[in-house]
Amino acid sequence: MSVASSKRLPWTEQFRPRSLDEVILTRKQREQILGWWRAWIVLWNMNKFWLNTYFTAWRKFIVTDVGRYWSRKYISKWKTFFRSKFDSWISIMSAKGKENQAKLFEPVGRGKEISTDLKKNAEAEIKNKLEEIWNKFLDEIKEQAPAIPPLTPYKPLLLVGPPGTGKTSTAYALGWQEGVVIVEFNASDRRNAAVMKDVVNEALKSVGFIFNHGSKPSRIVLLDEVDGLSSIDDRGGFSALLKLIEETKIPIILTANIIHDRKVRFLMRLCINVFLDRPQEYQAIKLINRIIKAKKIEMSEENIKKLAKYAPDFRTIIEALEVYYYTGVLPTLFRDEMLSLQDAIRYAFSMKAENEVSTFLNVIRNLSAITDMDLGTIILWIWENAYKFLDRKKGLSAFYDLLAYADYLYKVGSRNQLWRIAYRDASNILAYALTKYGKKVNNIWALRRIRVEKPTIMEGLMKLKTLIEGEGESKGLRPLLEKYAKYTHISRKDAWYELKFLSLIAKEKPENIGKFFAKLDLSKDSLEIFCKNFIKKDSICKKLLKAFEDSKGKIRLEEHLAEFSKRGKSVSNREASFKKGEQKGRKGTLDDFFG
Amino acid sequence: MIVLSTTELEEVLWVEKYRPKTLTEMINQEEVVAALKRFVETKNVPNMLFAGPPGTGKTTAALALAHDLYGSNWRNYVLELNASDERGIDMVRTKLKDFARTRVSGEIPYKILILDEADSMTREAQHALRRTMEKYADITRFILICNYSSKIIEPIQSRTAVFKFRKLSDKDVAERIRYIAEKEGVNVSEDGILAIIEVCGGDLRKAINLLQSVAYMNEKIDRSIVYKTAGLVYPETVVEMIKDAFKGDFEKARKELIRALVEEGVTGGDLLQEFYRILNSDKVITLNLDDKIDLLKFISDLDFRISQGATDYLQLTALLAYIADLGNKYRNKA
Repeated sequence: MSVASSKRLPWTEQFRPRSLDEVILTRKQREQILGWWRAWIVLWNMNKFWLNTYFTAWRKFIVTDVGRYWSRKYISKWKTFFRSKFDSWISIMSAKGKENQAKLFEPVGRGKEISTDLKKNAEAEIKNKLEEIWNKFLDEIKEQAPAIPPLTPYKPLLLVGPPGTGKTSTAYALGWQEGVVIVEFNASDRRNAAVMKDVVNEALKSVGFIFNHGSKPSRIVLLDEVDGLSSIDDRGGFSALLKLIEETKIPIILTANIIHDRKVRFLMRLCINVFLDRPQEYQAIKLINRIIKAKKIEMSEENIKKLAKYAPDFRTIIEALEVYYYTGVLPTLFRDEMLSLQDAIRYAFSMKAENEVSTFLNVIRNLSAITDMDLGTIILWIWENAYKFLDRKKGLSAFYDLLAYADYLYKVGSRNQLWRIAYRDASNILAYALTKYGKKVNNIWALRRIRVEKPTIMEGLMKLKTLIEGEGESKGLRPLLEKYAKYTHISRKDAWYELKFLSLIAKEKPENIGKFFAKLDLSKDSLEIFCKNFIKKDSICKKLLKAFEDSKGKIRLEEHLAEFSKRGKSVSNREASFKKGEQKGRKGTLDDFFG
Repeated sequence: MIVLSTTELEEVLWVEKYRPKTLTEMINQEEVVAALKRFVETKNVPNMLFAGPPGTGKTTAALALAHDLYGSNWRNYVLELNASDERGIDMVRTKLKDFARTRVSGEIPYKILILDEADSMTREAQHALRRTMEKYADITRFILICNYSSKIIEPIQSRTAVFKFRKLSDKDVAERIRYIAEKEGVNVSEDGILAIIEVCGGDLRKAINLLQSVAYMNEKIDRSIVYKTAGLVYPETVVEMIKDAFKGDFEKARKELIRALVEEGVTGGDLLQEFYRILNSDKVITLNLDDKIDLLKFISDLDFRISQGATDYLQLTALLAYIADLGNKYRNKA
């Protein structure tokens, strides 16, 4: 790369690490990542040996009757057996595995802390190990077979951490250092079942695997932001991903931002997990020093400390230094100055000029980094507090329309995985709206007098949901709504609206409604919730409950509420069995759990 | 234990008590009823789509048709589902399909599936439904009920006989209310009936519910009592919000919006419909034509955004701000 072109690259690209040692990781993290990679190298070589020695024999065996029988009976057992034995032999997660890895690899690599070069005698040891596993397996099943079946792949590597902490960089650094091609699929690609199939093909077709050149896998598939797999647009994408993990012949690296996501939680059980957290101060200083040395920046000790202490992630550090390099000003919005969310909101409203918009985008980025809020929550805070900060001479509708539009872009964008629309466009519109319509003040401290309040609507809506849907033991109003809706042929939503009308009648004629509820075969619990929330008067509630208890069980609704009981015969046996099979099949797909 | 059958217990809800049980009892929607009667005579029911405003007898017609077709046992042949309760594709794949694929024995070889509020189904669910309709056409007939036939996908519309239920005339509603009042021995004045009609529009269900709550609370029913009770059952939240915003009290209107959502449990979509109805009717504020066109255009914009998944209260706030600015403009002119 020529110097001229490298100058034009953003610094985040220029300072992308070229080897794992350049990535700012703890020793443990580096060990885990390289340990994972070493395990793959071992598997790769083991498989190479398998291809040379057993592949043909296995192919011949499998087409015979005995072979077919054998494979039907034992192949899945073998898969799990091999996986667990291989794992316990070489896995970096155990002390034993670490020891075994040390035996197989050169002690120190060429200019690297941890080597990924196999020792000369390693090949023989790998060979022996495979045969050892195989013999143990035969002992266990007590039945012979002439050839070893295909081997199962090793686990993927899952890098978890907030944005900008170096997940993607780590993957590329590994690829760069090891001379491996990284095949990347990230959140901007749609990843439904069909697309994932292409990934699978890409992963399976790895030529080097069959014709055994190379002593290392020749490529790595990198799937960025797996927590972004949406259940709507990437239908089937997740189960395809699991299938890929099951069948791949080359290593996979996955990245994810959050661990609270159900899908990520599930994946964590199948992967080697490495957690990349927000930078420690010493790590940040390491990066800052590297950059100011490379770019010959003069920066005071104090500024370095400040930047290291308050920057939320590595990317922000690099961007901040870039700004400092060109302007001599360190971007202001770090944790000490932005004491609280409240201040951040005040700041957002006090922007005066359009050139502050980019600063605002930093505000949003820092807001979400500091407080773990997404753009949706930020919009909600602004919505709750905007009125106090607006320049009312300019009218309200233009601002609130832009705010509503930003919400629309954010919601629809993230729903459809259109990240550019969800984040860039939405936050840009928000930034310009705040700049144009906010009160103009000279500094944000003048806005300190204005109270910033917490939006309470979410809590209120949650409470309402609990009333309707119940929580824990209580089923809430749901049984009442369901039965009333069914009885009077309306939807549950309409039933909710009509409860008020029901309560009006109940206030005048509690006996009637008590009887009516008995007829609907409701539990006392539902009735009490209704009384508590709609009647409120104790004397009436008592009357209602009494009428209910008196009639309960004496009045029955014959078939009125009964579900259509399957009196009709099934269409045919074939169809019935088809149905059974279908249900069985459904049970197996993980989309049922994650869909 | 004494087990009473349903017929022995007096019906508490008037809507149910006075719901026509057979097609002959239905007093309006003459053209539709005539066609349905012919289907019963020939014992041949096609797949149908009933479209029309709420409270015009769509569900009633479907149930009455089933009653006439199968006799008193009709419940064994009919499944009622409400799509707005389970609007996803899962309902089509499970409940609905399970019912559709079972065969019934008897004189009539098919059973009927009534799918209420079908227009609240997602497009995917509708497409899945279309497959099911075709696959089990010989053993299951579908009656889809919706407010807007335009929200039903074209392939389903073309596979069903579409019946439009027209909005009930004031005369029809008045007649029915008078009939029920007489049966129940309720003393209701003519202007009381008029008031009920005004509050409920052509929605007969709403009208009967209102009549019942008024009747229990008062001896004699007149205009003021109807409006007082209606205020309890159908609070005029939206009217208040419009008034406040137009006056310039934007924050009060916004707080009221939050209250309606959190305490009354009204959905944002429903509120917006109410806004549209009231603003379009010039009842609360009167605008000149240009402003009104812009306003309605803006509302439909918001409606679209909500339908696409935007946050309803944020969109509604934008509407309140719009009204506030209009109020400001009109005040300045005056």
